[in-house]
Amino acid sequence: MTTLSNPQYTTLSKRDRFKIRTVLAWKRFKMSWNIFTQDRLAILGVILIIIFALMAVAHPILMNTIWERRLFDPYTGFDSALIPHPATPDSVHLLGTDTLGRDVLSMLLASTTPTFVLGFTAAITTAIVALVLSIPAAYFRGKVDLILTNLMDTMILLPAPILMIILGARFRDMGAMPLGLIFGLVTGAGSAAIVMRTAGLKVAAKPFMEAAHISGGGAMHIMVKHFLPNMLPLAALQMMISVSSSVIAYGFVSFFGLQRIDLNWGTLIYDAFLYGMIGGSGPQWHVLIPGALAFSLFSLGFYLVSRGLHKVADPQLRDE
Amino acid sequence: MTKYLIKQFFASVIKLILFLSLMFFVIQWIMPGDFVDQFAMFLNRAERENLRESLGLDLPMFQQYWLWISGIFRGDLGLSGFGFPVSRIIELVLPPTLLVFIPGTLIAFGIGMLLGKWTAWRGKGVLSGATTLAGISLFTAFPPWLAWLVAYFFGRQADVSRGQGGGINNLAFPNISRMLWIETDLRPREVALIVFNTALIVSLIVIVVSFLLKHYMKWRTPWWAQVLVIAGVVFGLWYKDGVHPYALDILSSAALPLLTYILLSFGDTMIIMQSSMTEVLKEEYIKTAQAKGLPQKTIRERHAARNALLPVLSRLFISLPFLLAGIVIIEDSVNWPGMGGMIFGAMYWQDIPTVMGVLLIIGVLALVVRLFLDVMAAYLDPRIRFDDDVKSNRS
Repeated sequence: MTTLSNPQYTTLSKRDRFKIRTVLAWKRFKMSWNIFTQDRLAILGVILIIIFALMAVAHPILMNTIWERRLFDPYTGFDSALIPHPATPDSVHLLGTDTLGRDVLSMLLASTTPTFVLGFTAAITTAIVALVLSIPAAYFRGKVDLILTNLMDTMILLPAPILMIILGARFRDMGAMPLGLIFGLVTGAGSAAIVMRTAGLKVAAKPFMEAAHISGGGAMHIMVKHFLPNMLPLAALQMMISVSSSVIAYGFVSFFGLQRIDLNWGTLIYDAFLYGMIGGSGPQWHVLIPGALAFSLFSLGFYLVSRGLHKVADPQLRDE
Repeated sequence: MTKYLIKQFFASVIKLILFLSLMFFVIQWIMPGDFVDQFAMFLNRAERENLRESLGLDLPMFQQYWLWISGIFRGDLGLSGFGFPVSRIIELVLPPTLLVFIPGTLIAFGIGMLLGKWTAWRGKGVLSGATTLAGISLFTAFPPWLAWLVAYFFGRQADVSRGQGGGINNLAFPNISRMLWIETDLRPREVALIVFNTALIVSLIVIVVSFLLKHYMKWRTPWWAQVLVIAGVVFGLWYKDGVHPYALDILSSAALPLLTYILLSFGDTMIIMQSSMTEVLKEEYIKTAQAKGLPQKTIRERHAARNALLPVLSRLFISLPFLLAGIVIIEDSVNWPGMGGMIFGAMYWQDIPTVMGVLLIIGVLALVVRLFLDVMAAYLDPRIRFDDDVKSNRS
């Protein structure tokens, strides 16, 4: 290694390299962002996600400032000035109250945080599991590929939402995080890994892979330095899809009344159905619509972002 | 092609065995204690030991595993918590589920394909954008809520109180006219089985015949003619047996879950078809076809849509678990007496063997659909058909 010690070939200092890397990364991000914002629906998705994030932040602030805990607590609140419950919207309770006298808006806001926790747990687990399974399959091929593909094809036979409902019913103290973990494990090893493996095969066929082999890169080095950066956009896409479907599955778990650790929009709908039928007062639209809309819009937001990301990850989909 | 199909079939068998092993360990994890602990509370210690021995629960793990696997291949899924064999319960609930699942998936696939093709062909615009957004919104809607809305607006009665008590007792069809069934010995479930069997057999025969006609006589039968022939023959068979009023009643009862399922699942196919068609439309051969002055319809149908269909087929099996989960949820939401009602009723009673049996059947169903999709892909893609060495290049 005489060439490296030669002053003529001095490499850049660590700081300079970092600077160059940041500038490059920023440029890449700006380019991707431009492609992303060409899709109007994707921007709509970003806006929806921001609104939900604000909702999650707003609840504790409102509880500690304006809202009296006695009236607005999402679990135990009860307004004795308003009888009978459920009451339709008025100036104090903006979305009315449910049969148990709880404020609907407060419940709606309080449900946002566990939903985000579940969504992000599921997304991160999905991405990690899918990357760990798909990169070796695409790199080693042969027997490793055979074993891993069979594993993926087996996992896809197991419907994750139903497994979540069963586990939620069996272990009743499961919160958002373990449920998200289960969802991430099943979908990550199943559908996400299958999609990522195909993308990995395309990456493996690119010319720079051969260059990396010839210059003596080890298996680990190639997988981490060459496969991983090329597959990260697709992993991000899978994460968004995972959030969007895991949240719906989480709604099932509480909707069937089998598990009610965390407050959830599914609980809202379940209670509205249950007490609406018992009281015979007909459907409680002011409880049902916010709960159902929250689910749909949350899921829709992440789905639309995933579509925008798909255009960033896959150049073939872009409009010229 | 035959070689490819045989290979796919054996691969499916291997996957089935892997799936069953996975299920075995999931059950071992989920079951609270063993069968005897859970369901035989009134026995003394000696009786418990006897029962354990007779059920083979005292054997080591790998022997139990062998018993379970070999039992499944003999059609023995174990005993449910109520003492019925699980396989008997599956026999009861499978036909109603398939009665919704098979036509629902086909219709949803057709609608999604048409809309995806159409929106991609029109390109950007208000109408395409609105259709896309509507499809995605339905696809991301909360299924029980959608089912309830459909039942509220289209159902004869919006009685959607779910799974209370559940289990075996809750397996009645919703929204059937009671007066019709009082005068007959036929039970709705038997009629559902007849409906399912006749429809399946007649459709298979018609599809095979039309395939043979196309292959040997070069006669193309349009799809609507096939549908008409199937409907006519099936109705004729019912009329001959005198079950047609009952069959129609069952079908009108099935319309509710069917409609919900279609609304919920066509968006997925639409999105995939749209992006795949957009990709295909950028290919060089489309430009060539345009330059040759071919009619637009020929380019759209024969050149673009046929090639765009392949990725859709291979992506469909990725969304299969979600389709199956969706149908289970919908069935439970509208009280349809299929696997959905069964699985949640059983869960309510903590009847884990039944729950696992149903989950297993869902997995097997997914496997069968996948095999079918493989056959379709081989039919559409000459690369698979003629080149046996090509690895299954699905995405």
